[in-house]
Amino acid sequence: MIKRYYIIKENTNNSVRHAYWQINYCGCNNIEPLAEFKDTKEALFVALDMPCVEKERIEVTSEENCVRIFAPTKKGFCFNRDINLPFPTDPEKVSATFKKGVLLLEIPKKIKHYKIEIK
Amino acid sequence: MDTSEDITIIETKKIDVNSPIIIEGVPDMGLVGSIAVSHMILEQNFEEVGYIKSELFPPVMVVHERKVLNPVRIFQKEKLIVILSEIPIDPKVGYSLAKRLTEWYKEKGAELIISISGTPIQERLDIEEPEVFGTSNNSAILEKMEESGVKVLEEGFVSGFYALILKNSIELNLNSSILLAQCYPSYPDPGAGASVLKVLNKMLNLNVDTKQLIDQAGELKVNYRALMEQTNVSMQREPKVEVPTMYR
Repeated sequence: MIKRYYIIKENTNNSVRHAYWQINYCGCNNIEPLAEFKDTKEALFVALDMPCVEKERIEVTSEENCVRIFAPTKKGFCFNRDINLPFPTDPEKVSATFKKGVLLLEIPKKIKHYKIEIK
Repeated sequence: MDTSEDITIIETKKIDVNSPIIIEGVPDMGLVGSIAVSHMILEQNFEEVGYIKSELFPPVMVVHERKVLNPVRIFQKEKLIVILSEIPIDPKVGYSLAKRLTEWYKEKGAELIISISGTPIQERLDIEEPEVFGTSNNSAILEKMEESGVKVLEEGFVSGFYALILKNSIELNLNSSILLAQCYPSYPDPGAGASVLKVLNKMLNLNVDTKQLIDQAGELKVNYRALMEQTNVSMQREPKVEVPTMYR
């Protein structure tokens, strides 16, 4: 059984935002999008195939060690994927672009450099 | 050990055609072959004339419009015979299936075998109309491919199931060719399927309308998602091919 709930929130600028909230009873209506990863020294690039999705309804939330993607489709199921990062990132520096049904994420790596004092 | 005897080709209707042209659509890169061939079968009203059974295949049956069907089926329309697989072919099974199929093509007196696949390209998102590359063991067919807009491979290599079809075709003196459309590395690619069909329209004087593949690309990608996922897993089991240094 698939049930969806819409929670209407009021933003600080008084505009009403429809936040999409889904309770997944059967565990089958959330689907992981197919993904391609490219790992470089500076960042992790992720491309997620999300057809039948409207850009405005994609939610990407970023934490230091995880990026979460959620998007309802027009076909009655949702794309949902948590990307657990093996490195820390600056959540505010994660960028996302949606092009031809593919969500492109650039997740920069927080690189800490320490100068080691030689005793 | 020869396991091709474990593969049986069942003709549910008599396939009696002189010098048929065989088109193969087996799941691999971008599901280009599966998407192109499925669309062709539906759009041109091909008739189902047989199926392939084997204990080497996974235990899967397919349901389409309430009908239970074998996952690897044979279709025909006039001179064209089409092989459509809706399951990924495991690399180990690929050897036996390629051997059995090419033997069957020989029995049927095939004029030409066309295997449809994809070649992955990282910049696919920026490409509006994917290019189609091709190779063949027959120089006349290479010329015809070029005339139809195919970029003929000068150097390189092909791997996987279709490489086995090509290899066996050479041994059995069959004309074989492979069409490879630029495609997404890991996603279903209806646009690449459309590019291949446009080439086939020119090569074989067909009239397959590809508009639907472009207009309904999103829906098709959703429909083919599960098969793509299984195919990606299956392709990872393929032995890694080391590219000779001269091609790097």
